[in-house]
Amino acid sequence: MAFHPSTCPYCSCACALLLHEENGRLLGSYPRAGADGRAELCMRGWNCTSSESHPDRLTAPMVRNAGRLVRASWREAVEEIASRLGSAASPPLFALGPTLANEDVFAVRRLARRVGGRVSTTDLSGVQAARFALRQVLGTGYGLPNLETVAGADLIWLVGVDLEDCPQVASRVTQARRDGGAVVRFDVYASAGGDGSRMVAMPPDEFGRLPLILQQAVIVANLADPEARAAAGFEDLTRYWQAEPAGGDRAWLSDEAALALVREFRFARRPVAVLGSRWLTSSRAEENTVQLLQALVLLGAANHVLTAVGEANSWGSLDVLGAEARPAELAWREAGLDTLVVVGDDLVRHSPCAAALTETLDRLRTVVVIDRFAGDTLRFADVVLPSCTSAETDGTTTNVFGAVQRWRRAVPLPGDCCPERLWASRIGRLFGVEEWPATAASWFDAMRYEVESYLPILPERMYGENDAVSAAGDDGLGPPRVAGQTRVRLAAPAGDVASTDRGQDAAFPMRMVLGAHVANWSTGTVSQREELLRREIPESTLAAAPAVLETLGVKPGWTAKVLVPGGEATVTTRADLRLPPDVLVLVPLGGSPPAQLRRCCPGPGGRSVGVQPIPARLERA
Amino acid sequence: MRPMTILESVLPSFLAALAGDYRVVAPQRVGGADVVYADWTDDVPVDLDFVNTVVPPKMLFFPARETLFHIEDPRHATLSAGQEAGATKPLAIFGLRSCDATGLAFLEKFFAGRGFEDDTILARIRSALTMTLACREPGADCFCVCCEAGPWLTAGFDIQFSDLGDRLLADVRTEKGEAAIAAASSLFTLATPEDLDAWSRQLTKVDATFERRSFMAAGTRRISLGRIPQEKWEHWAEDCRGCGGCCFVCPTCSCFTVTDRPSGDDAFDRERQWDACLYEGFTREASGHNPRAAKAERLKRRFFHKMSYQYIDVMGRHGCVGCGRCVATCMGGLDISTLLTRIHDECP
Amino acid sequence: MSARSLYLPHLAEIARVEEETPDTRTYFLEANGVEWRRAYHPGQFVELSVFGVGEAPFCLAQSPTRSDFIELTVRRTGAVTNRLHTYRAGDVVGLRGPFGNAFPFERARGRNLLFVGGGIGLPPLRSLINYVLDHRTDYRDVTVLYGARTPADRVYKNELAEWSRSPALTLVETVDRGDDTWTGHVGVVTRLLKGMTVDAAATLAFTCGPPVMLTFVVAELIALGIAPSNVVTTLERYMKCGVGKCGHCCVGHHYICVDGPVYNYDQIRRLPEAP
Repeated sequence: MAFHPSTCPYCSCACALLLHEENGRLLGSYPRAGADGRAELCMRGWNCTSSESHPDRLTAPMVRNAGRLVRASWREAVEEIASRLGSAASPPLFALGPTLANEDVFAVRRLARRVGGRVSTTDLSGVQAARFALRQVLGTGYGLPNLETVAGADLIWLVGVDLEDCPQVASRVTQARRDGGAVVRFDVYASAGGDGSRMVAMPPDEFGRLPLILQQAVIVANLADPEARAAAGFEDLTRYWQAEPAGGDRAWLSDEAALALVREFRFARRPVAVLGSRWLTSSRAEENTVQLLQALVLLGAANHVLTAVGEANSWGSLDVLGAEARPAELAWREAGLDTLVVVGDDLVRHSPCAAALTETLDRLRTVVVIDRFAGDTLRFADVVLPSCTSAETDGTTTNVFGAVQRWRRAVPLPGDCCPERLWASRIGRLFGVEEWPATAASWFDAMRYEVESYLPILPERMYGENDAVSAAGDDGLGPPRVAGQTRVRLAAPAGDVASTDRGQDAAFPMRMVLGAHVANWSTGTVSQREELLRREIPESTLAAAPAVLETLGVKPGWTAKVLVPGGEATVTTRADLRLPPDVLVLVPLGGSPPAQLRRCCPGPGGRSVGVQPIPARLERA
Repeated sequence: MRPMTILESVLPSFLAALAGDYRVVAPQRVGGADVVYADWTDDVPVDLDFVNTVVPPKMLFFPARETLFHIEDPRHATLSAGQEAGATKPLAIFGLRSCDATGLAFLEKFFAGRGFEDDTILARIRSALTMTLACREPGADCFCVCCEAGPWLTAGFDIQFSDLGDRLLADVRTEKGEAAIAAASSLFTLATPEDLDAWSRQLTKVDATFERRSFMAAGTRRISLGRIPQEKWEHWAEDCRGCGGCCFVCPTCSCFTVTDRPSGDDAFDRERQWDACLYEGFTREASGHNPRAAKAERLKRRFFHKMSYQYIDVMGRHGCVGCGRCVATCMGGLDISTLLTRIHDECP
Repeated sequence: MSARSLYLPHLAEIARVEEETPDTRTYFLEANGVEWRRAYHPGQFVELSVFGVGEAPFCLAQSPTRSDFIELTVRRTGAVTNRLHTYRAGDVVGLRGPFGNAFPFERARGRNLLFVGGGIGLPPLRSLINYVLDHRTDYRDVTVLYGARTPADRVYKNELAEWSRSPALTLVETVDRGDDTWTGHVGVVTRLLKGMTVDAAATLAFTCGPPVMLTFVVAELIALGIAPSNVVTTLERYMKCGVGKCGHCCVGHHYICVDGPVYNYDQIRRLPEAP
């Protein structure tokens, strides 16, 4: 019986937890009161038990032979990969999931560089947009320093936040509200209400205007924060808004209402703005978020913004990959790609454009998959290497606040599984690089010399002597912000940003509604207790555009058959409290394949994730 | 047996003496601040100053996950004992808090009830040597006095230790406890009249430091009488994040689920794992129909169940021992203490 | 293994499988090693293990007075039943039980018995019907109403044919949608009840079927003057252990697996989460 202080691997709140191990198996995961004073975990955190006996667990390398993946020795598999990488006609693309330890991201990056390849991230949680905007406007990589700031706020703006998506943020909002704080929700549909928050319902085709309306209100009313006035670009911005004709025909947020909102926020004592996944995964998220951050800077809230709780290590992955990483979604569309290495994500399952992706994968000469679980991408793989979970290896992860925390090895590696860094070094040796760090600590050390923001973190702090007892939360370091104060830059919006995006969003009004819900929860597959988690994962629900359902006359409570490529599924329709009253959610009944439903997505994907309208025929059953 | 005392400095020797017959478990600090029950070894100091453990001792008797049996060749089915099985020594727990000892007794009654005895769990509980440690001051979330479960006990333990400064007073109530002390008799001395005085003064003083509040009694009664309007449950349930933590940290919660897990080529383990009635899938049927689909219904169910239904007619008490763990773990302020206080204040 | 754990199933080999409807089959399980194979009561259920997938509760579908086998009629709905439907004679499953209370067949003595079954709701009733037929002199009139969606969805087709010829009971069948060969009633089973004359005080009614059907049938039976306490049905809940431990089937202070699954409507009305 042993207890290993570690960090929850399910989202970038990265809660501290204790892994309870007995005879090499994880029996339970418990919260830690000691780490941050809160003995809280969400459902996922409570269920981080072993995955060695997961039905889909990969435990041996495989190489495709005569059309079938067959078990191979690690040496054979590694040699096969090396030879394919070596003979690639164009730079191989390494697509990394957001659940790898920093050390593993770094190792794959190093291998990619060695073989002349490129890196990209498969993360769909909106962290890239957040990161882009934070750097652009604030000059930092991270927002708020901790979650408790949310709990202590007297005014919270929730912009495109699905609280169901992120229990830890939700609990802080609840606490703030209970202590008398006010909550304003900006979202694309009216709230189900009852929680006492005020609602600004943004039409799906106009939400991009929100930051501009706010900026204009601040400037016109001359409410800008003194620090914002001193920031670069403030004059430009002021001139822009003074030149812009005031007002507009907006029933959803009149100038008067906007002024009241910004006034309230500007004079709140402890205001916080939370930008959620629905905002950050919507179309034009990067540009819109830049504008929204500018508005918040004008309101004096530059240091009061929480952005996108991403997946396990969304933030650290971007730190380590640096500016060279682009979304895999964009990268695999490029012509000429012939070799793809997918690391730690089921690209096919999670891609918003699975149909287009599978076409690409079919065409590629080489697809390598390095992952913990057998997913849908395996169908296209030529070589497969088994990797490990956060409880099976040592590593670091960086949370949404920039704190670097430890994942601790609590159970042995099953079969031939090993961390990505070991696979990278085994492959790398075949490219003539003999020197690869041997331990997690030495990987960390090597990494910090190449990732500037991690340089101040000494490996001894993360991998110290009293490793076994030091707390993940206690020794969490960071945030790895660029030293010194934020460097705020403001700029007038580019002309086209102000225009609405009507055409694109009108095609599917729900695109923003469902956002990254799936991306965030689908990490449940990492858990041994998948059955238990599957009961809660919202990924098996679909929403259909109201118009589609209206045409077919489908009403709540009805059963419908959805025809999808490869079969059909029976679903029940229900009105979801989180959706507007005229939108239905389709819930596959027992035995229906949610994976197939997920695949029925339209061609040009945009940025919405996972859940898509159903272009296939709906039949009344 | 008359009360005995043992010097705190020789406590490790006592635990070492028990280690022959028992697997000795004691509270230990992990990673600085968190206290857990872990296997005692003489190089780890025994902690007498902890408030309570992160998870209740039920995890020793009813683990978060355990193999019921092992399956080979599922279509033809050869069953054998799971890997955790085998003759293990009975547990000796040192440092059990009164609330948790009460919770353990509750679990024993539950797993023996309704005409079916869960042998595995009962054997673990019944063979265990329970050595409680009377509390000296309440933790921030404690309310055992409102639940008849502390801060010290008059029954339901083998040995109850009370910290008298440099020594511990041992109140021995069972033959099992007497045998344990007899095995290390040189470490114990008969309590002197001064010790007994100090002990009784301490108990009185401790009693006074634990605040007696009426919310438990009033809340339980109002739930049972159906005094809480449906709108209240619905309103409160909006803050439930469905984490299941309240059930997992509860010393008396006993719900579990059973799954078959692959454990090799064509082999499986049938496993039992803790489950939580706050999970949406807890009552969902294979057809997709869910009789308790709404969060408010699940929250209401939890409170009716723990505070009213089965507990009053079968278990003889409500299902809360006032350990306060749910107070710490609930993100939504829907723990027993907070919610019953709200019921007390808002639902006359 | 030491003492037989509550959760350790008996192994039972499948002796025969009979196709009832396109998605429903009856499994005849070799029960030689099962000491209770003739010592259960109609209305009780077992936990059936399909090893490697899991366990699910099924009612014992045959009267203990009849078969040498344990008979279970299983419709394909979830993971366990889907896998079971790939099983053939010779494959082995696990059985735990018998669990739960039973139909009040003692109280039924000397009364008229009215059975109303819908679709897959017939199996639990069938165990009692056959029990009653085997003790026919203990009871007065026996009437069975059975409704299915289509003629193809009727279970126990051979037995229904026997019953229809038997003087020991009156069988009336109906289907929601008929076909070319169907000459019987068409319409929901409640329609058969409308206008029926029963000796309400002397009648005990048993009904099982889909929840929607039950709602209407129970209302109709009560409208016929039968006291709610004389309308008997079974409650179904998601269950894991069958022995009052796992907590899934709790309704109010009842554990359906131990205190149920058989309830009369008067009891059901008193449950806090009445279906």
